[in-house]
Amino acid sequence: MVLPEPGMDIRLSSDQPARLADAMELIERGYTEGKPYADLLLMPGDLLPLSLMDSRLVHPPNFWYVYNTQDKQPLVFGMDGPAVSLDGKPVFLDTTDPNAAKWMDSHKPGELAAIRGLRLSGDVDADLAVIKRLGRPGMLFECPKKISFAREETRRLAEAIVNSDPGALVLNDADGIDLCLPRLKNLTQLVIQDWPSGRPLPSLRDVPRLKVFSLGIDKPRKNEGPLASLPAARQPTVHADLAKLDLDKLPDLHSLFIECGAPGTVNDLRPLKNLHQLRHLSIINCVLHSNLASLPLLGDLTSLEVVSPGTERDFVGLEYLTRFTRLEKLSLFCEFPKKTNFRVLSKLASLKILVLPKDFVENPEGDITYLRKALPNCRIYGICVGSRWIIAILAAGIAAGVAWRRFVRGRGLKRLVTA
Amino acid sequence: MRSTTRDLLAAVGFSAGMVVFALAAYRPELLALWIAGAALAATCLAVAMAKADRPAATLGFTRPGNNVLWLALPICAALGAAAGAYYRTAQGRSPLPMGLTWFCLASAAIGAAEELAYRGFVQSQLWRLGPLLACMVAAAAHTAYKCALFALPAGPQRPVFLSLALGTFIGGTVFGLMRQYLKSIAFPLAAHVAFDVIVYGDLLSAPWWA
Repeated sequence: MVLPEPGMDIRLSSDQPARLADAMELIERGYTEGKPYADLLLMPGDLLPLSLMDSRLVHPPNFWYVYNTQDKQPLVFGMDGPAVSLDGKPVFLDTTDPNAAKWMDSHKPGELAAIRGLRLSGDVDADLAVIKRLGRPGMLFECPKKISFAREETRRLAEAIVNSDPGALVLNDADGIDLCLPRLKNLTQLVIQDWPSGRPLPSLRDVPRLKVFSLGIDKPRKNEGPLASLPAARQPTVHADLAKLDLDKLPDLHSLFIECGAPGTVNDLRPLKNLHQLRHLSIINCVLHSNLASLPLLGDLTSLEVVSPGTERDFVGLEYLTRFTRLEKLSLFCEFPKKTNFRVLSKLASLKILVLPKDFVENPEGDITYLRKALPNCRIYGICVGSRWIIAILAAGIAAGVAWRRFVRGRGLKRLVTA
Repeated sequence: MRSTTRDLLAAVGFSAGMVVFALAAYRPELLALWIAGAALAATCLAVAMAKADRPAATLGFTRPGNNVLWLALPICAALGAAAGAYYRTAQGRSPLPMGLTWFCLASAAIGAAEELAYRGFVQSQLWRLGPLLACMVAAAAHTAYKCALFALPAGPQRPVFLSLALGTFIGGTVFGLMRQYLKSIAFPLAAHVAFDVIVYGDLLSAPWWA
């Protein structure tokens, strides 16, 4: 992720408070610091999950937005019934809303033409009608679990989606997508939310224009909540072999996200070596077989995120990361050896955002003070002492109070006097 | 110093110390302030405990006037659990955790400590204000602490302060009324612990604020 041009940063207005859906994304992407909007570092075409916060709503609407540099900034998102509007025009329609049909009937075709994204309901006939009415090349479709590219009952709908020449697909059931990928010549963003663990990964070689690929492996199922639950963590190791993705056939890929809902394995980072356009790499919950030094020197990489339950050996390559001289954002949510030398990161002069583990940021005697001075333009995030210290405060107060009573008012003083 | 003034000062000092502690909790550069706030709160608690006739009562550890009232304990825990299930549902999560992790113990301990601090200590010190006002002022002190905790986080996470404040205040007042009319801290303690275990019991790791 990088500022495409000076001054082209996307801004989310808090007039209609907006936030990124994912808390981890929040840490790295949006930060208002009391300003009326958040500055986000985005590439043109970046796919952004957003949700509008409204304390009156039990379920705040969430939607997908593809960053278009033509959009008037700052971006002001709002709600218009079942639709999300941008700068007053509807851009995303949630057809799962019972009022969606009525809403469409009450708007003129010209207004509906602004819609760029559709959340389909899974009702084949209704979805076909919506695609016929609003579908056009380059659109984003979010498909619920009910829509499968492999099952007979939704195949007509899948065909219609493919025939509409979508620009972005968010899939919750990617069964059968392999067969359709060769026909999706203009697909630039592909998000697979729930790839079954252990299943061979789809080949992406036939999607030459792919720019953003996000793969969620065995993410928590419905009703399991946003965080991995204990049963998920107990599942056998997941294998996400990057070599199977044929990534070297994707010359335009600039953002790659691999997320294992359960701790998994990315065998090897070397297949990334031909991704010369890669700017953003996220590897979440995946244990690396070899350490980060196996990451090829990708000269344009500006954003690297590693969230790992990993072992110390993963980070033998911390010094190696300083060779990525264009890094603007580095997130390392991992366990480091106690004597890790974080000072080497001061060589990353272009760094703007650095996210490090809490035990490192907690320690003011450690390298953090040095890094703050060495990288004055870099915001260093971490998680510090936390609310659990209320227990220590209470325990200290009670212990001191009891000791005081015993010493001053009771036996302690008497013993002292008699002695 | 008269005990009434001392009690009020202890409550105010403790609450102010906790707010300062919370404000600085996620900022390494404010370590001195964090220590000062924690020390002030601990000192106020220690002084009140030392001067009290019955130190356990300072934290709300009293027996209900009627032993039958203990029957309300599981009801309070069930109410806390139901509130936790509602909170999870409102977040789009399943009503109950799928499993329990080590963090359920930590979250229960944090919840229990908050109850002892605010419904136990602060509310006890404010008894002269009358039952309802004492409940509400203690809940307000708890709300100030919670909002301060999220005011200057190390990361960009910002909660919706209005719902955070309203939720803490209303919940705190209900817990305070439990403590006031059932005559023991055990009741809100059970409710708060049940709430925290249901809401946070399945987290694999501590959330950023814990």
